Amino acid sequence: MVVQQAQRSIVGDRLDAYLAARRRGTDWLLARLNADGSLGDAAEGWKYYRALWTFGATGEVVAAHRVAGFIRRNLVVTDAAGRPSIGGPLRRVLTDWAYRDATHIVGAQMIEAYDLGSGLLPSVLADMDPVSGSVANDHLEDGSLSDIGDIPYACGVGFAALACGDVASARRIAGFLRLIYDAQTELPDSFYCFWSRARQRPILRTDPEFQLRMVVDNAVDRPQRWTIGGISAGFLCRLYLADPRPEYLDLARSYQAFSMAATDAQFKYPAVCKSSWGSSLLWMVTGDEVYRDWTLRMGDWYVDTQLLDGSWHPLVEETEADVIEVTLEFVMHLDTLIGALAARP
Amino acid sequence: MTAPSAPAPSAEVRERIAAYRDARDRGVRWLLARLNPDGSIGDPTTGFSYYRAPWTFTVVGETEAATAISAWIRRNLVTSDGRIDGPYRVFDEWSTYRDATLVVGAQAAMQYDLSLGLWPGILALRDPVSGTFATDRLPGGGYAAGFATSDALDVTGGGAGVGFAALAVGDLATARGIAAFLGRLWDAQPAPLERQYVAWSRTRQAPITEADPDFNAETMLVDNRLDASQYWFWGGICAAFLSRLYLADPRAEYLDLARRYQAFSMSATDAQFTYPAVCKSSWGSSLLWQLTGETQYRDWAIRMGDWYLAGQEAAGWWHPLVESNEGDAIEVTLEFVMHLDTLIGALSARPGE
Repeated sequence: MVVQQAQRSIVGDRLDAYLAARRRGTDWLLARLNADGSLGDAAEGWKYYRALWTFGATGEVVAAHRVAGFIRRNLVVTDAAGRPSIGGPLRRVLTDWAYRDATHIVGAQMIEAYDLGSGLLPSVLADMDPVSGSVANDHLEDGSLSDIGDIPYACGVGFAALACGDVASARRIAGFLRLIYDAQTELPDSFYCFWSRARQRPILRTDPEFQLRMVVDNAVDRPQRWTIGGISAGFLCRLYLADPRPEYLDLARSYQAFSMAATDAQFKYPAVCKSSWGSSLLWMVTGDEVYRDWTLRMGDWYVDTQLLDGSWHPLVEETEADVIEVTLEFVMHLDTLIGALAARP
Repeated sequence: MTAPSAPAPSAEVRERIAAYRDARDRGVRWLLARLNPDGSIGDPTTGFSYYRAPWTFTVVGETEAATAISAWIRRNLVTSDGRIDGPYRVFDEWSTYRDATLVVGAQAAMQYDLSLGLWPGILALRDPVSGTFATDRLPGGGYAAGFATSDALDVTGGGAGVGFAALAVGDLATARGIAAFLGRLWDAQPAPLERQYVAWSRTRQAPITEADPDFNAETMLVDNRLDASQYWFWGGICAAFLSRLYLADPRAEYLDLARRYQAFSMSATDAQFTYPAVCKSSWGSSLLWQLTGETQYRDWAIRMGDWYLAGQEAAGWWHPLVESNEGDAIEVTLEFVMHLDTLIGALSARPGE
């Protein structure tokens, strides 16, 4: 334990509780690791894309390399442009395409499996809009890209770019976050988080393709993209470490402020999780207590919502693969949270 | 890369993995017990011997320790112009290697100011002709050369070690340049499987040998036939770097060269196992096993794993070659824990073999 006593007096036993929750979650995941290196039922599709990151961060080197071996043997294909990419019949899932692959890349870089990390980055960057810097959410059945690009998916690619040392691409993602933030018309109440490549602006309530999921209404109690503020702030903080421009930190604060200003009802939904990403890293970077306090609130939320067996419930739970997906993510967030609290003794 | 198909590691390998994991965990516990409340480890006034701490603590999942020591380094060792310096640095020797190793760990821990932020300073030390790096800092601060001469580059510290950092920060061009240099150096060896000259003359762009007035056998030659304290790590670290590069850029020439360097390591006298510097032979053999599936590398990796077990103190630490203070034991234990982690990962990557 490395946190100084002064910090300990505030963090206290909660850090130990977060460590224990991380351990329980990891153990639950390890129990789903198969002999061939797959995690859960691989036929359910590419929902374990965060496995290398989570197992790498928690020191589960055996699991990380076994899953990496499975992915290498079963999911790496050559795409239409001749690039290595994640595909094949076991991929199955076409939605959130670049986000899944980018998240996988971060973990692969962490365990120095560069063929699965930087080797796949070009296929992910191909989904980036050269005009705005947004990233297409989905691949469509015909192989083309969706017009829409949502904030979390752009940030996911930003994390991958940083993990691969591609600061230029990370800056383009930051540019998109600035662009879409400045295009908002209903702040601080609402955030239109879906970008249209065709229109080069957010999709608004007045647009014919508008769906309720394309806006976050901060005062409303319903399942929403509660993720957008936290993941943006988390990415911008990581970018700030690599490229310490005050504008990145300022924008991180703005996004995190939107997340923290939302109704307390957001804590009823798993999507609130990424708010801990932003607050943890803002605490690490700035030392502003408002972020530490929010981080502790988030940490308590992870502990309170964890099931006795160590897993968490996703918003939509069709199969165990959905539980694996959310548990991989929450263990990773707890790890980030624990690290950030330790960085300011 | 050939793909394994069998379902699970053999019982023998599983047993060895369990033993190595136990050794890794005991090493980690010993290291964690040396962490201070401010995030430093051991007595930081004895010098920058804990440069591998973010790497080791990250790979073993001790995120709290990794970020705490990264924060301590940030507060106490990073200068305003993006270098590792100041009174806590202490050491001039192996400066570039230490910094490059920090970069690898910081990148894995996503502490990008300590990786991407420090990388330009390391890049500035590259010899533009050969592609390798100066590694020893001169008294007073300059990095013009190693060995306190104006001409010799110690490629054991400024070659593969920097290559790992280049890969970590995504600088593939620099990593390729180091690989090209390692190929050139190999080709310049008169008897590459018997002995290797490991110092490079900037002016002549050739290895420094007995024919050169500044030749020093103790630090510039690895002679595989001699029972002596030598840079036994040389073949292993080159093979490991080239294997990692092969993952990022799968050119057959990198794998071929990795095999040759590892062959140099594995053909040395068994007396090399009496010195801690043999450790990096596990790095090369582990990753070559992961890549090729050739049993000679698995068997060597297991021999190395057993060597780690045999040399570990009951409390979890290992003895360095020179033990002047606890900082030396922390340095070598940080490294051996990392090697064990790499070894465990590589054995796990080939289920059923």
